[in-house]
Amino acid sequence: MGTFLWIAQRVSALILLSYVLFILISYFTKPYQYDASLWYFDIHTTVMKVFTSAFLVVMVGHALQGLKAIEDDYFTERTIGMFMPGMTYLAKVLKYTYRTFIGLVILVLAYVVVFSYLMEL
Amino acid sequence: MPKKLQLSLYRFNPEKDERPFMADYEVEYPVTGNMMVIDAIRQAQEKDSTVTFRRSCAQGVCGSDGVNMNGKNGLACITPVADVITRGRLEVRPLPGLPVIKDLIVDMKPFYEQYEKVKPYLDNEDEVTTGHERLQSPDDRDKLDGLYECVLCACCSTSCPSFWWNPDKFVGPAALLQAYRFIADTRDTQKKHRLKKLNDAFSVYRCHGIMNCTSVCPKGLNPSKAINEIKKELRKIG
Repeated sequence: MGTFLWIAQRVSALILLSYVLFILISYFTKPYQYDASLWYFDIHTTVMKVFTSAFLVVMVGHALQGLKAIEDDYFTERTIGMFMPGMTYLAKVLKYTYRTFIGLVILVLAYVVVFSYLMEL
Repeated sequence: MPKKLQLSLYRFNPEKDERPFMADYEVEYPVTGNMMVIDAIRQAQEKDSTVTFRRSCAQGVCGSDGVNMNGKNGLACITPVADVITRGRLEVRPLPGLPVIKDLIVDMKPFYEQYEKVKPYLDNEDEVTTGHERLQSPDDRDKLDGLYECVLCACCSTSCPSFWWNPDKFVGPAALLQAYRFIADTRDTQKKHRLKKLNDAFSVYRCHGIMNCTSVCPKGLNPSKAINEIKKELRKIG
């Protein structure tokens, strides 16, 4: 499992990098800054919708790994106890608040992508 | 004429003190500059016999006097004061991340528990029928150089943030160095099993390669390199 996660993190990073590079190259090689409708047209083609959706899914997966590492390191009784002795009970509260916040961010992101971008409602 | 050194020692007696505190001692510091940190602590102990610290050989072999000196871990017996002193002041604290028993003495249990996990001994179930010990080629023996010399002082593991946050899950540089010492040993037949035991999100992969371990090792070893070798081996088995 450890090796799988290690490889997944690096592969997802490469996918994210290639998408960002593609967007940057497109921006500097096409007249998007003068013609917004061209950007609108390009980003709404089926191919770009597939790639952009895949990019977002990969980004969430990549980010979740990093966010989990933060949770494992800082939202534990050990770490909370170091900064606030006697308040270790806060560790669980903080951990679940953190998870809820991340879940909400993913839900909002998914809502925006599905309804505003993919379905263009 | 010896100079004066302001030595600040971490003090904590759980039977008496509510909180740890730093106590200052003025000790003599010879101008020749060859005084070791342990000599300064001894001078402080002569002034205050309740100062408690752990030491044994005082020659960098037993690894029992690991402490944090002006922010950097090392063995007090082989660290010259001149190397760590800042503006005439030296702060000595216990190794970070381990529970303090008293003053500069820490409870090494979490460290040894990780060491125990990696089974630091040759594991070979094949019966020896040759009538002599298991032989190794000089090249294979060379692979163990830089791995077996660890004195288990815990300076590396306790300078690693990943070990501070997860001492129960992350094996830590010292134990991983020992894990690789047996993974790399051609006489050991449990290489795959050893690797499988380490293949989770914490044991090895919690190391992000910041190399604190390598920079503090008093024996000049390179646990970071050993950890990378383990990661390479893990990728080979998938």
